[in-house]
Amino acid sequence: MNNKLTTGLSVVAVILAAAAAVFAYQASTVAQTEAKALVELLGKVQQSLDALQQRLETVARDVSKLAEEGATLRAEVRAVNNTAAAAYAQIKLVSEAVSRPAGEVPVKYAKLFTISYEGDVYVLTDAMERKILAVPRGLPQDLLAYYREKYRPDVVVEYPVKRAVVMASTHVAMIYRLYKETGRPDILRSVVGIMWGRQYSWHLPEVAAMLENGTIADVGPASSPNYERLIALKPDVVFVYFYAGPYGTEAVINRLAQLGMPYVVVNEFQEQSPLGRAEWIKFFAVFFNATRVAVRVFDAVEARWNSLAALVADLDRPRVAWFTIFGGILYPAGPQARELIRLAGGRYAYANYSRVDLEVVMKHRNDVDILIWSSYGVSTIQDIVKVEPRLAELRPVILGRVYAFSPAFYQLANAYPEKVLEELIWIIHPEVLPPGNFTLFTPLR
Amino acid sequence: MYVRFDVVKKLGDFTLEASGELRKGLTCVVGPNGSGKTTLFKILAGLLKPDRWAVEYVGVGVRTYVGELYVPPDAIALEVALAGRSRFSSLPVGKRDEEAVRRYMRLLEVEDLAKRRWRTLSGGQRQRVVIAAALASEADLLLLDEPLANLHGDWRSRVMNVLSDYAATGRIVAVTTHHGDVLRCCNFVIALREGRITWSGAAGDYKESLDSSCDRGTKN
Amino acid sequence: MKVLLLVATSLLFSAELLLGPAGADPYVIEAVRLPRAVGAVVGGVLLGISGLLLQTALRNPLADPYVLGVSGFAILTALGSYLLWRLVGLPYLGFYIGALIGALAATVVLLLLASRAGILVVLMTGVLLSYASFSVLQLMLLALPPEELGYIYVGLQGSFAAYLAGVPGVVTALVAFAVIVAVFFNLRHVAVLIHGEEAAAGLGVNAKRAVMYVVGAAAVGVGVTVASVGPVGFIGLLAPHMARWLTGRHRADLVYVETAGLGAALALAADLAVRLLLPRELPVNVLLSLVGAPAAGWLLWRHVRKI
Repeated sequence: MNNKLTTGLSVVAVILAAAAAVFAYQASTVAQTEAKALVELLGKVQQSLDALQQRLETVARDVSKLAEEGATLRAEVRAVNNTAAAAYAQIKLVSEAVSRPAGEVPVKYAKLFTISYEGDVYVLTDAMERKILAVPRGLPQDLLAYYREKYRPDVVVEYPVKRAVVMASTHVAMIYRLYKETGRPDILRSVVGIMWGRQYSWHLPEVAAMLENGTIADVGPASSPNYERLIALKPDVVFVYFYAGPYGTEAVINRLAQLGMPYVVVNEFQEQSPLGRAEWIKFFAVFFNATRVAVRVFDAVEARWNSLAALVADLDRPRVAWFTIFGGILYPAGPQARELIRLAGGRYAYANYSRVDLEVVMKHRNDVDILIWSSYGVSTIQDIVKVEPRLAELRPVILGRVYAFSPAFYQLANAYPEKVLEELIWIIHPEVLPPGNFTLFTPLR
Repeated sequence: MYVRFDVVKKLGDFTLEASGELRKGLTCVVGPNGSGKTTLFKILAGLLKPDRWAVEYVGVGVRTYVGELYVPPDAIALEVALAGRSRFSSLPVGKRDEEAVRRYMRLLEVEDLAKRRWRTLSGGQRQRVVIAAALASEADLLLLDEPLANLHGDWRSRVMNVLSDYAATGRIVAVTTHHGDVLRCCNFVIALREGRITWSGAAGDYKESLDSSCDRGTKN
Repeated sequence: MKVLLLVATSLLFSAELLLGPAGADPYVIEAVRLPRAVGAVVGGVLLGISGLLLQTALRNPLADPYVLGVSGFAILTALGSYLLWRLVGLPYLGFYIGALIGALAATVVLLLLASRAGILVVLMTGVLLSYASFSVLQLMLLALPPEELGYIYVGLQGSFAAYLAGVPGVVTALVAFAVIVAVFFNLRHVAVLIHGEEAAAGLGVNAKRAVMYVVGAAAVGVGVTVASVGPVGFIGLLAPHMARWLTGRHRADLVYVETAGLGAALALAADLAVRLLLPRELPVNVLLSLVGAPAAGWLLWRHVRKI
């Protein structure tokens, strides 16, 4: 190679290089511009991407919200389903309940209790105005809950009761009457405990026998029973009476409430009329599933009562003295005794006196036809004269027309009022109703 | 009339062993507390039975012993004095009893307190009413246990003079005291110590007597 | 004062005889009201006197006749007789005889004690007898059917209406009279017991005999009263105090007549109130307190004012 070639190549090279440089420079400028444009473009793309990101996030949030709402909705739907089901059940229940015959068991004379029913569920109010729900065994739970909710009773008892404890002998007598009238021994057998059981002398033979052989337990005195024995008997219901004061049953009832024992308060003795007292048999009957029978029985009692009264209503009225003396104190006839005398066709001898004491009795010793000694424990006229010798001058004592309560009187009188009236008519008007076998009164010799 | 005694009485770990005589007149029985004066008096009055009994009463009709007396606070002084008349009859007290009692109350200057309630009276007044009651019993043998308790100064000797006058009517009066200041008023003195008689005789001969303001006394 | 009391008591006695729902019917007066009036007088006087005697002998212003336990035991025997009749069929002696038997037995025991021991021993025995009798009574009541309990409780509260007419009533009145007279003839010796048994002996009284008189008279008085009219309260405790406030005197022999008179007056007044003001026969104890308390209060006020 020669120098000319080399120099010429170098010049070309330099020119090319320069051109390249120029081109490069131009290209870089272009590239720069393009790069700038590209960057701009990229920036725009970035922005869009960001916006997209945000939108995606928003959408994501919306979607999750939607998901929540969807879950809530599902839950609500489920709830609605449940409510609907419950409502359905309720409606079914209510329609069932409504379709049950409802009403009140008629109570005409008694004022201290009421019985209403819905189908076979009874709602009773007892003498202390407590609400008692009596339901048949095997009642579906939801119906039970429904009635509980509706009535909010103080106590719920399943009937027929299988284990009953009774506080008063008069109550036992009413249950006994139910047993006799229905012919259902299970009624009597469901009495498992009586307070003061062994102390009374019982005029109900089956009861006496059951107490004797231990089928019925003696639970101790009514004023302070043996609670342990009571609890051991596991009663379905305890029939009590309420009597205030230190010799009363207030403390016992409180204790039973404390112990959670199911009790109902039967104060038949507080009723003003004998029929009112006897009407409590309907109350008892509910617990033994014998309500209809009880209503029938009571109607019969009422009818007999009225016919007996009608029998003697227009007859001449003999004068009847009614009192007893204890410890020198004379206890005259109360308003109910006086009413009984009137109904039995007699005339109370001391009706004009607001205060009857021995002097009134002695003053009218010759103006009286019949003497009824209003307590028991006497069997002869001599017994009465021993209590008060001056009574020997009374006309009925001289004539021998003296009667006293029999030991069975207090036990049975409330449950058998028509018998009381009947025997009184035997006493006062034997010419109309010849006397039969006296059970509630005793003629004294 | 006299009383002769010879007694022994054990009370716990204290023994009274005394013998002597009480004659007409006023006898002071002196001794410290617990020397057996009250025991002796109760025996002489017949209220306590001694272990050895030898008391001879000659010519003595009625005995009266007056010591501590419970009095209900609402009783009036006259009624308390009337207690002294208990031995005369068992019918309710009457006018004669009241007159007799008032006489003695006058002597002791408590008659004007006759209608006053017991609780309003001072200790000294009460004491004098009780003494009046004792005198009202008109006993032949009058035994007074600590009659001078609650009495001070003047009344101590005045009461002793009254008692001395009473004894001078032919009666036996004996009083206990544990102070020696009134011994001059007595006719006789019996000194007791720890259940034993340490001295007995005429008051005038009693060496340990202190000065007193009695104007009667050492005569028999 | 004595005259006033006499007049008042006579008035009350007449009122008791003449007033009542049956009017002035002579038969009623004789058969019904007279025994009752006599019962009130006998009961009131005996209870007042017994209270006075016991307050004197025990030196305790709170003593009342029932402290001796005689009435508790008498009621026990009376009820025992009743129960034997009801449960076993033995003849019923009647409340009167049943109570008298118990009263007599208790009196004998107390007198025996009084002859041997001081009055405080007698008192404590009486108190124990009272407690024991009451407890046994409660136990006996368990044997009775529940219906009769009401009668028993009320019947054991004392009522002048229960005073027996006829021979038993006359005998009772005579016994009461004997007690009153016997006490009168021993009053001075009883009165001195207020100062203590020893003081009484010192004053020339046979204290033991006096105490026995007190125990005997009080026991018989209470026994006879409880047997004839049942346990009547208030009078035994308060008649002596009222007499003291009325007379201003304290000695038993100075307030004896007034105590007896006030006892009778209180009893008659209370019985009149029961008969005329209450719609039904009630135990007289209730009215005794209602009638007696204001009277006692007035007398106490007068008395306290004078001091």
